[in-house]
Amino acid sequence: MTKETLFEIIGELDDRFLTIETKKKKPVTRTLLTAAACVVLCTVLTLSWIGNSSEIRLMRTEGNVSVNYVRKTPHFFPHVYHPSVSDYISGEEILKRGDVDIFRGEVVSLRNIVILYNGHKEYRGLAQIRVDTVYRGSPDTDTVTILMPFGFWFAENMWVENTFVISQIKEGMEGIFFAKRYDTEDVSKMNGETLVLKDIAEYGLLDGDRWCILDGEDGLIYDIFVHEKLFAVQKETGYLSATLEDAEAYVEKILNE
Amino acid sequence: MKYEDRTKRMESLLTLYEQRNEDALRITNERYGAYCLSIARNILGDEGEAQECVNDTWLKAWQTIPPKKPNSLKLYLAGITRNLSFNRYKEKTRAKRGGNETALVLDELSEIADGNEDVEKTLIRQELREAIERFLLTLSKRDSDIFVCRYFYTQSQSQIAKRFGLKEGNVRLILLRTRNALKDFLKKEHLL
Repeated sequence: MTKETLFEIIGELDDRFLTIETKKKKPVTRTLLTAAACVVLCTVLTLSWIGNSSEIRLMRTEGNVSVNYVRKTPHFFPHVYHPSVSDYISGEEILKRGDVDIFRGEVVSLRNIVILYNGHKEYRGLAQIRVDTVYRGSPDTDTVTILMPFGFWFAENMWVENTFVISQIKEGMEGIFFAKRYDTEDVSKMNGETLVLKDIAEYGLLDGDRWCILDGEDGLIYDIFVHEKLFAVQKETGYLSATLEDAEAYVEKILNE
Repeated sequence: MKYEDRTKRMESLLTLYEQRNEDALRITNERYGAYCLSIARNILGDEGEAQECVNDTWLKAWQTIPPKKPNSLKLYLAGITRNLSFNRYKEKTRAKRGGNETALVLDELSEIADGNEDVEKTLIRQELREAIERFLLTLSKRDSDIFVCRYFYTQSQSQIAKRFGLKEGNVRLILLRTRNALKDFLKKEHLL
């Protein structure tokens, strides 16, 4: 056979050979380093637990700042979080931001935290996501932590602006996340104190509506005005709701433009 | 997405084809356009020509569905795009234009090919395809996927390295060993 014929014959392979597993296999060295880092982290956390089981140890933050896990947020918010991107931004602009990593994953855990800035309290949430597919960026580990704009439980009759999508997040849910990658320059300042955000999470969502697409029980949950091209697919297919595969195609299309 | 939901979605799109509803083409383009374009681009190395092949893919899909009812529309479209792109590539090469990743892929495959043109016969082609499939089943999933990424999807070695978290040199070595193993396998099957 000629090389061209062989190429053509390969083109006739059965479908079952053509579905590629997309999960990246880390090089052995990186896997060993990650394992070593996990051992160190576990040791540090264990020692911290001996002192205070709910406190998150802050490695870079200085001053009178502490962060603790809490079971739930109080019945009122002493401070309401305001999104850092308040102007209109399109879906394409979100996906093309250079400081945003884009990945699909499953929500492993949701935990609330209280940040004390010299006594002043702010309630936020931390979501652990097991990363399945990376569309852009290089998460350092298979499971990453995302800082949420607010805590995960709301008091009755309480509504916080820009939280429609993320307020519906649940453990076990899959989603596509457009997460701001933190470096040491990303800080939160309050009451004269400064928290280095990288101390508590590798990533953050910039508000509760526009920076993720969740796969809910009744279909996709996302901001249909910002991700209007995805909504267009949903409208035209005539289905009750689009799927996470549609969201994936939407993301890949914009990234490839 | 759940497998059942994905199947239901694909079957509904196929229904649009069967009803000769032209929305099928628009939805197909929205869902699979980027995917097919990447396949065509890998083979042709030219954005404009790749887009033409993708447009031809939709036409071919429209012409063949029905009666065809593919189990996986995505992979069916991938096969059409690949064939159309490769045919165009061959025309370009005859006209002494082009020369890209596809040329490198063909050079690699020439290590296995014996130049015997009797393989044009359908029966022998089928036997070869089945033998290559049996061979792929002897490989690990990773090595099989790497082979398919290179020789079906015509991805570059650097793209494959990034996708699998390997160094480019490792990918090159895996492909070399796989080609050698495939050649030995086909010889044992008396197909070379």
